[in-house]
Amino acid sequence: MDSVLELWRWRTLLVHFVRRDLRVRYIGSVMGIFWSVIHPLALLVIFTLIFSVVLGVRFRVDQGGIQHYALYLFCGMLPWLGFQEGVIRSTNSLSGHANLIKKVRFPSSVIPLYICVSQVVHQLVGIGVLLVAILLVVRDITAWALLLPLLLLVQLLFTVGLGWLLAAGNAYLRDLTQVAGVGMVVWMYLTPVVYPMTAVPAKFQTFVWINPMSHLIRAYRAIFLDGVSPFDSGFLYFVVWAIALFLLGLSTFRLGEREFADIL
Amino acid sequence: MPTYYRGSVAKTVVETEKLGKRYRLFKKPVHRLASWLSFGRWGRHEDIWALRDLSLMIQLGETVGVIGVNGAGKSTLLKLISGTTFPTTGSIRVDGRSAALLELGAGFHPEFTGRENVRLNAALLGFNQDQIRGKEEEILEFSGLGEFADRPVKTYSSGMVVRLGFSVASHLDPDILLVDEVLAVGDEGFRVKCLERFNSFRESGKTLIFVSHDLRAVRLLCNRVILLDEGRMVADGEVENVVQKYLELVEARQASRSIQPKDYSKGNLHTGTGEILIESVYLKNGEGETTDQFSTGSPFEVRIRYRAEKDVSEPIFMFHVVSRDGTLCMEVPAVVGQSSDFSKYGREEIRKHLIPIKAGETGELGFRTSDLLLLTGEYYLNVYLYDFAHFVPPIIDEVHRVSKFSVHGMVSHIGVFLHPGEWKQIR
Repeated sequence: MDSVLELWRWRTLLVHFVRRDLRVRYIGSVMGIFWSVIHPLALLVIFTLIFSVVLGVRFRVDQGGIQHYALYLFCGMLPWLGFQEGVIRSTNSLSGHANLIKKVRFPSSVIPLYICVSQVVHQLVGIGVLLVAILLVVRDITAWALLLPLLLLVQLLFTVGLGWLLAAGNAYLRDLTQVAGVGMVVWMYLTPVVYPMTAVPAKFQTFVWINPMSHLIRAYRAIFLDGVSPFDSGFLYFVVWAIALFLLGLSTFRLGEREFADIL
Repeated sequence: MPTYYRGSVAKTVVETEKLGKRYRLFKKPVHRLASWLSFGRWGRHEDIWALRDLSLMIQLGETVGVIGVNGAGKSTLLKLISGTTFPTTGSIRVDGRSAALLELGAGFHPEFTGRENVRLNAALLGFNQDQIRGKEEEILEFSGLGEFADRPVKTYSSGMVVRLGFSVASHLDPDILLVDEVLAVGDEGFRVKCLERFNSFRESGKTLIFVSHDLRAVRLLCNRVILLDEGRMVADGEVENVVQKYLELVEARQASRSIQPKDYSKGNLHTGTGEILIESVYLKNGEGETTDQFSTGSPFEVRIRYRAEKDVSEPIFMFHVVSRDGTLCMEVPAVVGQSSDFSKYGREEIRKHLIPIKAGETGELGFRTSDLLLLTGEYYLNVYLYDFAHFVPPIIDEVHRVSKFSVHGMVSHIGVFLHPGEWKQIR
């Protein structure tokens, strides 16, 4: 609890870091903020081409044809990419800030946190695009979409929790950078991002259900595409995971925090 | 216990009790993992005690100098006080907020303007939005950056970076100001400003802890000096006494050195990142003989031999000539094929002239002047090697107080050097 309070005391620094991070992304690039739209869009086009056009896969949700599949994919891709980048960048974040950690006294737990917060803000741009697309294609959106901030918050807790764990581990064992890179790719395909949960054979359903990220992706689709309540036992399961991971990550990170300046 | 602060209503702001700091160096990361998994039983490592058994008390309002040869533990002590690192043994208690000038420019991002960096830096030091806004103009004003305040920091010279960093740290009203060798950078005008700033800081009854090789500054500012050697405190007390002890210590170390090129790369004189090692430093006269005797106005040549362990794309050598009492007499940077006076080049200009050194290479650099300006006295060299590819160039290797030499000039000339120039009658 002390750790959470301490982070709150350093919120000014957090805000400055987030602001700087968002600006660094776009400084010197001509297209600026459009890059945060183009990245998921590019993946979207590729996946849509491969699954819908080349392989001719027809999922049950896909009654509306190719546009609907694209939306479906986009809606899952955005939170996934936000999560994935947040975790991967956090893993490597301490060595990137080694100079600062060695010379300035501040809680270094702020570093993975600002990265994950910045990633969430970044994700909002993509969500803006998603909303425009929904209004154009489906022309229907319900008030459940207003739950977005809640989903973002829970996603943030989950992401930064994992980010703290990996960042702390990576200070001792640099191999974790590679592990995280490979792990996230595998994890993505184990999560119903490019395919719906219902397309998974019955005997593997349990595995998909155990994977907490499945429920986050499902919740995003529930509020934006299906226009229904995201609250069910699966979502609750994810919330529990998120809070547990947040607390575990923070306390583990704090254990190592005193040593980081010496070993980086 | 020194007596000079007895009698006043003293308040202890820093108190250490048998303070010790050990750095554990592992041969390979896997050894660290092994040690970690076995609670320290396995894993090959080497223990280095940067500081041992240090017990001291610093009172509110004192200005304390910390001196010692390289690797004595001065910076470690400062880091422990500032709280960026934690003790291995013993305890330390710090009362009040400390700001460390050892972090000058550490939080700066080259793409952002000075103003933006001031805000972030202040936030790093733990200030909130309102406090930052209130101080911003004052800080920029003091730094004397003028219109550069709104330009990206990557366009700054290293002196400007230090000035800005100094302004931030010293304006945010710390109770204890920790200073590590910052006065070595920046021009004389700014140096004077810094000293004035320290002085007003001192007069406002705050505590200043000052690590420096510059004995002149230590004498000027401090009312108490602590001498560290090999991690232990060997003297603590009145300035002149401790400085004298330090000079004796250095002298004793020097006695074993000969004038012939000596291999420094095997000793423990080295600090720095170590991609390139300075192997030896020696001096030649006009006849090309290796010597330690020179006369004013005659040729003087410094030779530096190095051996590279790893590639470095933008290495820059530099030597300081230091007089016997520790006064820095001059700084001579090395850009091969160019004159030593590169005050007229910008940072990017300098970078263009730097020649990469490849792993495994050995080499020798020479700086030659046909007309040595130094007057009678004894001098030493400090040789530094920086990696200029970084925004705040880290030290790759440095050797201190090597190549002691004597200069013989006209006895009537006093001072460090005789400045060339002409007098004329104006009216």
